[in-house]
Amino acid sequence: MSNWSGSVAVAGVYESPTRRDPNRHPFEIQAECVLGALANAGMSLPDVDGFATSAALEAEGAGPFSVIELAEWIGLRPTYFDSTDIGGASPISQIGHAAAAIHAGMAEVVVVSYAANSYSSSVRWGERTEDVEREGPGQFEVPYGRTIPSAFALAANRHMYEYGTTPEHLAQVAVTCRANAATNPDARYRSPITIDDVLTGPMIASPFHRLDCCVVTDSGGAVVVTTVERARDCPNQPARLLGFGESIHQQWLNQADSFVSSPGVTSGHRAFAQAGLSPTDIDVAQLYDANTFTPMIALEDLGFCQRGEAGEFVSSGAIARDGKIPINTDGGGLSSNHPGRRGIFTVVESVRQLRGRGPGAQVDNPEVALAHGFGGELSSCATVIMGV
Amino acid sequence: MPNDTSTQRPTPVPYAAAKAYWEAAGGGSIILQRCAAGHLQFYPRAHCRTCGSTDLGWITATGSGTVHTFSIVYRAGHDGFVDRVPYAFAIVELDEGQRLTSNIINSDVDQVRIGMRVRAVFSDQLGEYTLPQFEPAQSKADQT
Repeated sequence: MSNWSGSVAVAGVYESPTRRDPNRHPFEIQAECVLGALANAGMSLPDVDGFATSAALEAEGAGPFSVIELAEWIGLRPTYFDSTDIGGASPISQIGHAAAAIHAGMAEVVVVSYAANSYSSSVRWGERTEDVEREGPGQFEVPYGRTIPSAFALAANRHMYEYGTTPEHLAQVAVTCRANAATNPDARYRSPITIDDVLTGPMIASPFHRLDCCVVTDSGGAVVVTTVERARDCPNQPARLLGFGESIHQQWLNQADSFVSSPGVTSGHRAFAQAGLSPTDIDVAQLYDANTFTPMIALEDLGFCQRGEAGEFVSSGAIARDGKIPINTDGGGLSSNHPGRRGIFTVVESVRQLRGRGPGAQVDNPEVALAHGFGGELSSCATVIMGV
Repeated sequence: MPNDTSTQRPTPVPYAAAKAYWEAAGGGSIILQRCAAGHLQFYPRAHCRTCGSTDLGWITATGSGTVHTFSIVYRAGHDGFVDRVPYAFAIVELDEGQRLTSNIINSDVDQVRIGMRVRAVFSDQLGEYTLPQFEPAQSKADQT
């Protein structure tokens, strides 16, 4: 396989500042994001020959063939396109695919974008999907009251059982993300919280209290992927894509081989192998936080700490801005932004960090950044490593 | 197809290979598929997911198992569960090794533990289907 590592770059990024936006259709937010990322790359719509979006649900304004409808809406006639839908990790997956496509000559400028109005939508995230799921293998799970937080909670509880992880360890992730959000003017929540604030909040699905769960917002983001040659002419510092990996395991919880590891083991291994790097080379990491547990399992899956040690690791301060591996520097999904598929923001924030323009907790001169996303309930993972 | 409303729990709509499973549940047993090569599987399919064999039969599980993991749900996702919270959403590992998604019932939710021995119960009727659930193997009735 031809290795595209270092030959493709992110030239532009954009995150919508909106968090509650009841008056706009999700397509209007997504167009704002595409135009914003292109402007950040010093480009405009006619430069684009590739387009990717994972819009597929009501809160994303989507129905069948949404990549076509959104290309039409935005004003694109792409000859490379990608509507990969693996849940929240989809935008990271699509960035990896775009890099390979650009390296193969299939496209030159690919925009990967995402938006949803999950806060304002009259349709609950996932609502109506049960009617389809109960006709397939979901009939062995959805009648028992699976919820999104409870699905992740199964993994968190098993991790607590096997390794002695505590609610205080989980809460530390929320506290760290909130501290990072303090200076991010767009973050959904910025006021500092304590571990006690997390633990005294209402229980959603044990062991997750309300502050263990991500925010729900109306927002979106986009990135522009192109060749390093073209990226050099762009007005903002490009981030070279160094490595990528992805993996899918299972949709239904009764099919999971393990509740204490995830497809991130494979996606991370592949990304590090392609980049020729190891966890100690990473200066800052954005680890998809749908709840306080997903960054912890990611720290273990990716090798930032040993299996079973994430609890002690996060409580040691290792994930703080001045720690061993700062994570979720914009405030993450727990405090800043989560309209549905947060993967897009893990890449946007990675690039902002490498440019020294993180809106939350900016790390001192990072040279290598990692973005890692989950989809479904530990069903899929995608990992991308970037460098200046 | 059953005509669900948003205040009812989602009802199974059995596909071809699933019909025998739901029929057995209605009769008070959990059945699992075993292929000619001996691979067990849950959920049912028309093929073995391990070796691809389409030569599949059924075995009846003992109905005994262990709580592999669980969460007590306090906030419902679907409207059909609003009046059921808090409830124990769980993965039960049957003694045959297969894992089922289910609920732990006939137990205070605060008493549910990973590693707890459980046995199948068939008391939950949802439309025309019976949902296999689990209760503590040492029930209060047994302790008297």
